[in-house]
Amino acid sequence: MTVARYQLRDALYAVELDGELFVWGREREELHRLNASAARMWLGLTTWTTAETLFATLEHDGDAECDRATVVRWLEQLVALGLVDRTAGPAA
Amino acid sequence: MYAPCEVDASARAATLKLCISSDGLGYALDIRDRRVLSTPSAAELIMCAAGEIDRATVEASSLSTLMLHASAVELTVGTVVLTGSSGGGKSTVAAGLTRAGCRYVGDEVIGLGDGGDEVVANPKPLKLDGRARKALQCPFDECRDVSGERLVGGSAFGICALPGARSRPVMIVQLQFREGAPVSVTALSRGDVVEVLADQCFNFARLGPRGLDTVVHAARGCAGVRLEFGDLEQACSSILALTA
Repeated sequence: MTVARYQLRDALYAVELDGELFVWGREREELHRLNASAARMWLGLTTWTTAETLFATLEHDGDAECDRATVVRWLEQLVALGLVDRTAGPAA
Repeated sequence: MYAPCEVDASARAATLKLCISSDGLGYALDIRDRRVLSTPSAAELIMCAAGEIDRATVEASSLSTLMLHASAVELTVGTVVLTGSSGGGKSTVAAGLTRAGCRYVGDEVIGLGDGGDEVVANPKPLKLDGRARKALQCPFDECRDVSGERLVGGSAFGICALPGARSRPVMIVQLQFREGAPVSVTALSRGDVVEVLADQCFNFARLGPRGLDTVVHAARGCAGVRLEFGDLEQACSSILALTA
């Protein structure tokens, strides 16, 4: 069984403001605005991480906005935006 | 017409190599040996050249200055930056506030420098269309027609800042003119202010992380409002009340 893992790409610059995160992508020269839940998820992506691990972290932090499907959807959006890399490997 | 933009000999020099040529059918404009415009319209040529001069004026003050598509006026408490899309009423409200006693800081393009702590003045003549001139109800003897719009020196309305002068921003106002609409003021979150400023920067991409730091810092230090209006006097009164 393989599991998708995610990690922030290089060449990103992020600034926090009132819980939100503004991310500047140097490659595409685009500015992105992440809400507080997405910003917390962002902080968990500094190393290769699964959606399940991220969801557990957010759930532990009491983030009611996130369910498993939402976490996966956000991750795939970040991949599509060129902000996050995805790889597939065997489950731990 | 550009008298408010004159600087003394001690001011930092801005050099812009600008070449205008004509082949009998139209005009070409080269900036620093690069062709930026070919047009049959002399009016378009003049507007383009004036815009490039505006940019060079602000750029000369600092290479790290963000260039905002905005107008600005200075009050006792600090500077109010008027932003919004074209036709939103930036120039008209800046002229109205100058007439009400504020110091005219700039139009079309102003600088945001020193990490977001300073607005850099660019008090170029204001570009006013027919609707704006009617709202301002002034004779504008010193006007010059350009494509149906008129450039009016800020001194026609009141006191002007010197080009490159620095002042502290205290409020970002996103203007939206709507015919007949009552004044409506909505607070912007600091995140909204970042979006507004970044969206209205000419050189945000070039500055990258430094640009983001600048707009975030400015958002932390300024209040932000969205102001929809249909009447100039009401809009000016609202801004003055918000900054009182």
